[in-house]
Amino acid sequence: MQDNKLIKALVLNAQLGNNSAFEQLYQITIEPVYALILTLTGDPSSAEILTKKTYVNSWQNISQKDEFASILNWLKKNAVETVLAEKSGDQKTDGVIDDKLFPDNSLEKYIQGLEFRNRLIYVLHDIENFSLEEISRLSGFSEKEIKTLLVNTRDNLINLTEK
Amino acid sequence: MTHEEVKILLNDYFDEKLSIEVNTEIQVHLSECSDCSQYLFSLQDLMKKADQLPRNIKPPTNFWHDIFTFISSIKAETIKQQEEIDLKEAAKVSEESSEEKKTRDKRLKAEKLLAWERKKAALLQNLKKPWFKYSLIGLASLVLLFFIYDNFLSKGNTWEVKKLRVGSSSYSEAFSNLEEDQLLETNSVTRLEIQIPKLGSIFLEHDSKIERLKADKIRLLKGSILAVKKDANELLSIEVPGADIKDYFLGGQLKVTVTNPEASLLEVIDGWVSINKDNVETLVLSNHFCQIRADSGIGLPYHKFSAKEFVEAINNYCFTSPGNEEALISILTKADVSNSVTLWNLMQRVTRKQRDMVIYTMFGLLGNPPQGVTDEGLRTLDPGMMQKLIEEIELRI
Repeated sequence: MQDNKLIKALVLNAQLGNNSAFEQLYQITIEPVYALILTLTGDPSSAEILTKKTYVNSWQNISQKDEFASILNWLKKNAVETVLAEKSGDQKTDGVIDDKLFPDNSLEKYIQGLEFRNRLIYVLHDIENFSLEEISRLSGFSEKEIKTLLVNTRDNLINLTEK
Repeated sequence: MTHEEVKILLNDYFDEKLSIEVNTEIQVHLSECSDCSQYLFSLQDLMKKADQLPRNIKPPTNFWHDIFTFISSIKAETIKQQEEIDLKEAAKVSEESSEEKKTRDKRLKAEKLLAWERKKAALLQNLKKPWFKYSLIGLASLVLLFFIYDNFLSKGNTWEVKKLRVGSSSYSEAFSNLEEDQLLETNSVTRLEIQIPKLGSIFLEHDSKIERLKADKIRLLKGSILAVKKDANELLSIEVPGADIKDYFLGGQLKVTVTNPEASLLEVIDGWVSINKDNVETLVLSNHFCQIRADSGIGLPYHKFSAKEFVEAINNYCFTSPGNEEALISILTKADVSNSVTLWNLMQRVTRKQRDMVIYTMFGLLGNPPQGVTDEGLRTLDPGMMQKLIEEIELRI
């Protein structure tokens, strides 16, 4: 989705070092960015740290943002890169899920129970609608590996939700 | 074809990533295989559930404060590193040319000394001539007489008061004079013009009251005055409850209103004005307002087109929660380039640590700092740099 003129002006001002413009961009984008990071980490305290890191990194690199890319997509990619930099590829999150955060027998809960790499692929492809090419570039997996992981993850989730 | 391969194909079919030919084959297969139809149905059901997941989640707290603090510290570090590089380069250049510089300085010094000695010798030579001696004495006497007249005899100058006709300031009639310690008051229909020699005019608006104090100073007790200074060679001083307002330069226009015994509002229409209280000077430039409260001090000046939220943030910081860091950050995050005068004044009222945040916000808004102004100098409120910065701000806003 393309940014409207106001957002383009805010991005331009933020690229010139205007903190006030960057704050407005933060206010506009924080909820979807936080939702993505929370879904990927499953832990509110890690999500808080990683969200802050994402915005600080984005502020440092905003001059490199492509003029035609949507700011929200760009921030979400930065969020994924920040999360990936913190987590090892095959780290399991069993036992760190906040039980109160997601209702029992909900898809969110089952997503949190997945291995990190399966969760990453599933969230980015089926929830955030990232393309296989984008996921491959961010995660380092080949498109074939991503497809296999996606099929396995969907199978796993179908089994869990249809129990 | 293995079961796994069929599954992958069904997923591709579901993701609409198959060619038309394979798609048709799958559709045929689905019409014959109940297991695969069931699997496809489950995939659709899973996607429906995924679509219903929340895409927006509000964080439990506002993270912006921490992000902003971090960004400010990175900015400070970057500028510091750049300055260190610049200093090293400058030292390198100066090392190379220090010998040349020493020689040039010596030569200049010697030339100046020689010129001075020549002038001295010529003066002593002239002093021996009687006509030169008497001319000098005559000139000195004239200067002395002018000084005495200007400072003593012409003092006690009269402030002529004129009554202005309703709705006009161009037709006026002489009314009386205003002497020192005398009060002057208008009602709901009168407006008065007070002409002050060497300074200009003060217009006393409806329902207003002033007192003339010593020298060129007045006290505004209620209502409002408009001071218009033309060809002035004296500075005007206006006392309001809680502060002294002084014009910074000769000339300019300002309006002061005492809204109640505790609060006043200054509007600078043209020129620069300073407000003094407890040895803290607040500088207000043209097109800016500044609130003054007798009990809680002087507000921060703000541009006449400042957003309402920005003015509220200023009032909150100055009057409701003085010195509160949250309130300070609220000002900084709402500021744009037109609010640079506010930030310039704010620098003098915050702690050294907070000053960094103000400095980098201002640098962010103004782009590069003016030549000769560094964050290190502003941190210590170096008077020369502060002056350069405010002059640059005046040009930019």
